Order: sequence, then structure tokens, then C-alpha cells
Amino acid sequence: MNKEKLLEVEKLNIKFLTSIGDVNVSENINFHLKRGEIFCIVGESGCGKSVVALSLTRLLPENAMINGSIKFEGVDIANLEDKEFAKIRGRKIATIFEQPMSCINPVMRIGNQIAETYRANFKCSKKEAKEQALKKLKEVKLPINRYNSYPHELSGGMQQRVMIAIALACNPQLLIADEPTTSLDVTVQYQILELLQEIKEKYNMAILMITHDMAVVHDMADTIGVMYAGNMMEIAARDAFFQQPLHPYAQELLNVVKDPCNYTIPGTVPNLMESFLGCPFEPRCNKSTEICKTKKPEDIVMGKRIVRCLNVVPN
Amino acid sequence: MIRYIFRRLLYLIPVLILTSFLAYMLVYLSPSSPAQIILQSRYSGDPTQEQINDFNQEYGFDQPILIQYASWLKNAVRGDLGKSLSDGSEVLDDFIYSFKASAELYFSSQLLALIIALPIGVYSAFKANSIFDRISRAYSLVGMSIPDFWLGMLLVYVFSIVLNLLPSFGYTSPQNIILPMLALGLSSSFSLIRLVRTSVLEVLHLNYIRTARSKGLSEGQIMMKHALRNALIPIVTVVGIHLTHFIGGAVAVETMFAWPGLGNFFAKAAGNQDIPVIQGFVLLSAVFFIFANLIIDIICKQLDPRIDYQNEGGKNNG
Repeated sequence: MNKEKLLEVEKLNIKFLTSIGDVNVSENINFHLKRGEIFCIVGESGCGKSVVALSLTRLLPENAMINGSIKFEGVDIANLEDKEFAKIRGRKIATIFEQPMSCINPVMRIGNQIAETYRANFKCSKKEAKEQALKKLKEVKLPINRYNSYPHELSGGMQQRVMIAIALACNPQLLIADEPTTSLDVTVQYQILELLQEIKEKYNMAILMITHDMAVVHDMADTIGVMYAGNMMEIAARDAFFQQPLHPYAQELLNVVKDPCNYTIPGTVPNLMESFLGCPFEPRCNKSTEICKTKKPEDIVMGKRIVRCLNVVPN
Repeated sequence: MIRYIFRRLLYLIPVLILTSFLAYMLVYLSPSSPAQIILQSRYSGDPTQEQINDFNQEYGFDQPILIQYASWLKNAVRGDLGKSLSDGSEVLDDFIYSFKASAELYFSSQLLALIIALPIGVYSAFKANSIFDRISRAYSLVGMSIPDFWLGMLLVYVFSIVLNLLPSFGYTSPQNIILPMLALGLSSSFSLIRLVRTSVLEVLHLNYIRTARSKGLSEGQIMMKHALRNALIPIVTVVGIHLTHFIGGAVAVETMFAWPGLGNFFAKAAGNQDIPVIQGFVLLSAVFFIFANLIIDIICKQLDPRIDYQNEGGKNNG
């Protein structure tokens, strides 16, 4: 299996310019993905996970300012012309979203929506595109007689399968899955995750998955990135992460998973419009020290692990 | 679908009974009697009581109102809506004649409005807040503040009086339609531009447009294949409602250009208290309304597969 780096994100900064001030949703984020790897970004709602994912394929609204380098197959795609970028989006990097019902066109037959993706990226006849779409329907385990169905005639799980089929239409190298199972019930959720695993194996595809569900992370991830208030607090391989999380926020997250009925992390996610002098997690952190209030933590690299905390001692 | 159409047509019966009944009652609420008005113009002077009685007997106005209504209804079902009191012509023929004139004017003007408003509105939404968008918004706002008859006068002034290109009124040559069509079409296009812009803009912010973008479609493809089709649903509904307004909505313009349309005719009949004409027009207008709405609903169903007519009561997303 080819383990070269498929996606490398370095010093990614994203800011939303609004009329009442700037919102920093990503501060110097670094991470990378290899082919065939599943990288999960976890964190509470409102910490910038989805924004980071959407920024990779320029799906953010126009008031988002993106800085940094995004290398895909060795090419910096952050500064590509729109025309060049169009050759990558949909064809090499595909995206699936949460709430599939709202993400597929309600007045277009699902088969056509899959075929359309293929035709937009490869010059081919309508017939070829339809064949490809039928193949993809089979791949996501939808009966092919659903080709002519409309989205509202399908269940939530089936809609997400359609979404996946649309994303897979061009056999992309990287699939960005933004909370793909959030709006689905638990059994359907499991089926969708299984399907994603299967497809990943088949095409040696990399998946960047955004989720806040630790169970999903445990099932799916090869590598985990923990995000908090626009910062990537810790990146670690799955087993190492679950055995011994290093960042206090990661530890707290796991504490919550262990005892979800009684334990919560005190405080709330900060408003990203405020700028932080020190560590953004400091007010909620049970290990914070004086220095945390005044100094921004930087990435500490320990082999394959990266931690952004002032109190972690590099070994 | 066919069952649905059949059921909708069945609704016609109670609606028509009710509207015809109301039309009858409304006419009798007015203080002056039709005999008074008709005879006054017939003999150019106050009619005698004898003349009034003869008139009432001839037309059955001396009968109790419910009996009058019943016999009128009986004839109406056979397609006989009676004769006009003022000139003795068949009400049905009058209606068909002025309906034709109205339809010509209204359909062409609405078509013109669509041809103008669709591209401008779509492009405005596509380039929201650009200079083009600002100009088109200002243009439509100014246009919306201009009444259609005033626009008509302006057009008459420019094209008939100054340039002497087009006839200013009448219904004799094909050129006659141009000015009233422009007056009506332009004035509906102003509000339509805003409607198109708003509905396209609304759709452009929805999640499936983001999906279309993520699929690698170009902005043009996104607009034509995904945004426009969805934005058309409210537009069709509004244009359809506009169309059904042509019965009374164009009175000013029709009168100005001496266009023998429904509005013009109806206004005249109301002024003359020409009861059979009023009743016939109200009844036939109701029939037209129901058919027009049915057709709009069918078009909307074609545009939006989520509309489910089998399950009535708004359960569209079942």
C-alpha cells in the first residue's frame, strides 16, 4: 500500500470578516493525511472543525479569509486559480455533508445527480455517465431501480448513500466527510460507517472525517486530531490516543465519554470573536498554570504525536 | 394525477353555486333598480311606473329572487346565460369576445414580463451586490412605483404622438396590441425582477448548491441545473396568480387603450346595472379561475416532485 502523504496542511489560518468583527476559526493548523488513512477531527460544536474541512475545497462563504499552505499530491492547491482548482474539486477531492436531505437537490432524480457529477469532471456521453451512476448505486448498496427516485422518496440512510455515491462518482483520492452520520439513527449510522470503510479499502482512498462522536472516532480513525477553539490541540494515532491522551482537553473529552451521564467539562466553548492572549482552553482547564494565561501554546512534536499545550513535557 | 384533476373539477360545482348566488345577491343589494337605469337610457328620460312594470315582467324581475335565481341557473347549465339588458346581445358571446381580447393582451404582456425579468433577476442574484445588481434593484424599485396607466400614457406620448409609430388605441390592427402590452408587461416585469432575484438568491444559499459546487460543477451549470429549477416554483405560482388577475386587474390600461377586454366590459356592465351580464361574467370568471389554478398546480407538480396531490392536507414530505 502506498503510504505517501496525500494531503499536507500547514499553518492554516481562517478568519471570517463580519460587520461586527473578525472571527478566528483556525489558528496555525497543521496536519497531514496519507493515502488509505482515515483522519478524524473531533471537538465540541463551534470549534471550527467543519470550517477547516470546507476550506480545503473552497466551499466557505466569500467573507472567509484563508491563509496557509494546502498541499494535495505535492501541489499547493491553496493558491491555485479557480479554473485549475475546478479540476480537483469533485474529481480528486469529494465531500459529503451532514443532513443529506438538505444537501441533495430535491427536484432532481438521484441517478441524474450522480451521473451529472461524472459528466462534469470527465467528458463523456450521457449513456456512459448513466452507466457509471448505476455502478455507483450498486457500490453504495442502493437498488438500481432507485435511479429515477427523488430524494424525498428515500429514507435518511438511503439519502446519505446517495450523497456518498455522488461523492464517489469520480473515484476521488480524498473524501471529506463532514459529520456524515450526525443526523442518522444509530443502526443506520453503523451501516454508513461500514460502507465508508469498505469503499476506503477498495479504492485506497483517504478520508478526512469531522465528527463529535467519540464512538465513531474509535471505530473509524487511524489518526485523531482534537480541535478546540480553532486550535488543533492534539494529533495522535488512535490506539495511543485512547490509551493515553496527552492534552488536558483530550483527557476531558474521554472522561465525558466514560461517564456521559454525570461528567461534563465545566464552562463552555469560547466565543471565537474574542482573541486569546494565552491558551484558549485555559479557563476550562483543570491543569492550567499561570503561564497558560499569557502565553500561546505551540505545537510540540513527539514522534508521530503533536500536542499544543504548555504543560506537556516533551519526552 | 387524473383522479386529482377529476376531484378538483368536482369542486367546481359547489364553488359555482356559491359564487353565482353571491353575485345575484350583491346585485340586489344596490339601491337603484336595473329597470330604472336601463329604461332611463332607452327613453332618455324618467320612465313611467307602467314602463317599469312591463320591463320587470319581461325580464322576470317581478318574481321572488330565489325563483329568478333557480330559473337562471337552469338556463346557465344549458349554456344560456341570457341577454344583455342594454343591447340585447348574448352574454356568453360577449364574454368569449372580451375574454379573447383580454387573454391576448394579458398572456403577451406576462410573457414579455417574464422575458425581461428572468434574465435580469437571475443575473442580479448571480452577481448579488454588484453594480449590475444595484442598478437593476433601483430600476425595479422606480418601475414598481409607476402605475401601469401612467406608463401607458408615457408610451402613447413617445410612440404615438412624438414618433408617430404606433396607434394609440383601438382593436383593429395587430399593431394595436403593442402599446398596451408594453404598458402592462413592463409594469409587471418590475416586481417580477425582484421576485426572481429574491427566490434565486434564496436557493443559492441552500445546502444542495454547496453540494453542487463540491461536485465540481461550474457556476453556470449550478445556476441552470440546480438553482433556477428550484427558484422557478415560487415564480410560477406568482405569475399564475398574476394571470388570473387579468379579469379585473387591467381595467385602467384597457380603458385607456380602448381595449375591449374583460375589465373594460365588466366595468361598463356594472355601471349600467346590466344584471345578466354581471352574473354571467362572475360565473364564467369563477370557472376560469378554477381552471387556471388547476393548471398552475399541475405545472408546480411538474416542477416540484415533492408536491403530493394524493395526500391532501399539506403532508408533502411524507
